[in-house]
Amino acid sequence: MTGALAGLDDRELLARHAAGDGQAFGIVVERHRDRLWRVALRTLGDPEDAADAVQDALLSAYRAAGSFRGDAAVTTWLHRITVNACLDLVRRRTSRPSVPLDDELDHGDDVAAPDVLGDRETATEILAALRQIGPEQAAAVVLVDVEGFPVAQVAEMLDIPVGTVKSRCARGRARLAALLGHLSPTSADGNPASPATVEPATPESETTGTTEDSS
Amino acid sequence: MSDGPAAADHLSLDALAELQEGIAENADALRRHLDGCAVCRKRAGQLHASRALLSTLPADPMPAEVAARIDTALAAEAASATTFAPGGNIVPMRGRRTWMRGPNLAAAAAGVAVLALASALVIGHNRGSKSPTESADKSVGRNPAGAPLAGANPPELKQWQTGANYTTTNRAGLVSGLVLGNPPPFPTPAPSTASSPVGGAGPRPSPGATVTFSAPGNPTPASFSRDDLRDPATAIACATLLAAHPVLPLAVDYAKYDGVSAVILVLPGLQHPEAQLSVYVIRSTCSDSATDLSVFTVDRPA
Repeated sequence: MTGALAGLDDRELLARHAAGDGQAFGIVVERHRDRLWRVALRTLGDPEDAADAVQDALLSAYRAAGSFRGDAAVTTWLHRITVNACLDLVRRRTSRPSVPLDDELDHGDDVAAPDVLGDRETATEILAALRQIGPEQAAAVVLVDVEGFPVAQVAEMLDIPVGTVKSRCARGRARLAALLGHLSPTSADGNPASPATVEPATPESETTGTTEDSS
Repeated sequence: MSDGPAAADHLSLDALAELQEGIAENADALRRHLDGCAVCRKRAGQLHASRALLSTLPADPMPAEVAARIDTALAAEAASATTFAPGGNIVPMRGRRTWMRGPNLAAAAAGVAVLALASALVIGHNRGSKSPTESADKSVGRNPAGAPLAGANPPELKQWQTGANYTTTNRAGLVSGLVLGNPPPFPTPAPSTASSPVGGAGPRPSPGATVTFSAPGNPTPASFSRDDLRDPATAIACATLLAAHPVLPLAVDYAKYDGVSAVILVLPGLQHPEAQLSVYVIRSTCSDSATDLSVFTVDRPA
């Protein structure tokens, strides 16, 4: 049953899902979840938040599949929903009063092997920098520079004009360059950004005030 | 947009990024400066270098536990109704299209009365209140007699005893089940709890001081043992304590979390009450300083 569905394209699967097929949506999820996860993780810079956002997004997609219009690519549609879920989550977080942290955040069960520790640390710093620049700029940079989507498609995903994608990318890259300057080779002889600027000043408030424009 | 570098100044990273993106307003002037300025060329290199750094991020797949959690959430979404299985599990019923959201009137009737009194108790503690509260102090949880508070419209508290083992991967689905399902009749508080009526003359929560809304980090004014929580009034008091503001829990389940006995207390989401649920896992005592307390948020089933 699933085997037959696996041969269908995303659009057809969404149509089947909307028509009541209980298997179809799972196949769409399987195809896209790794990339949606990466986009959310890098947009938000935090695995726990990314998991929440992707879950929100896929539940939304599950419910909204019936209203999916075939003139958009499923990939674009899913990315749009995911980025929106990320932005929503940050908006919620910034207005949230302090609540006890989930103690599971501290579970350090996946300890990196020593030989990859350097890469992991670098990745952690990059994620921290992405978190610091805020989800709107981070999403634009991640979709264009990391995922390699064309600017026009990213404009569709973010539901903003092409020019806005470009300016968010430019601003995001400039801020990332400042935050990550000490990690790049040119910092040896250039004017390295102070490593201190990479540390989020206050982990709870880093998402406020970093988005100059709102969509 | 561009920081409009004066001719003598070096170009900002913003200006350089705009130049590279092709959206700089005064591109020609910027380019001329860049041609003659080693400092700015180095800074432009910094932009390229950070873009290169981004590409070093590992292309990790979605972690298995996240994938499992999402699958569970989707399965819960697919299940339009849940039912209680005597074996102790909440079983999603696939394919049902009718939502069973109405209160189980028969079972809830008595509970609502209790809750009304209990909320009077909580609210009463919150401030110096009137007569109904005083009597509630004595009778709550025991022999509910009394009309619901005027104006108060407490949701029914669903009391479960599933014994299920909650984990990060299944908890979203289980919690949905707690809220959507109709619990079987809950055993009345065990006789032993008679010695510790909530808000009563028990040693620890003295009336008036029981539910103080302390700021996080302050000394905890009160705590309730897990057994106390079998009393709905205590569950509400506990929820209020944990949330640090008056709130009524939707469901409570005597179960396990990661294999450890725990009370699962389900509240309307603290941030988005209509869209989310906040879930407290209480392993030992209900206290806002409990070291083993954990909190998570799940989507509220529609």
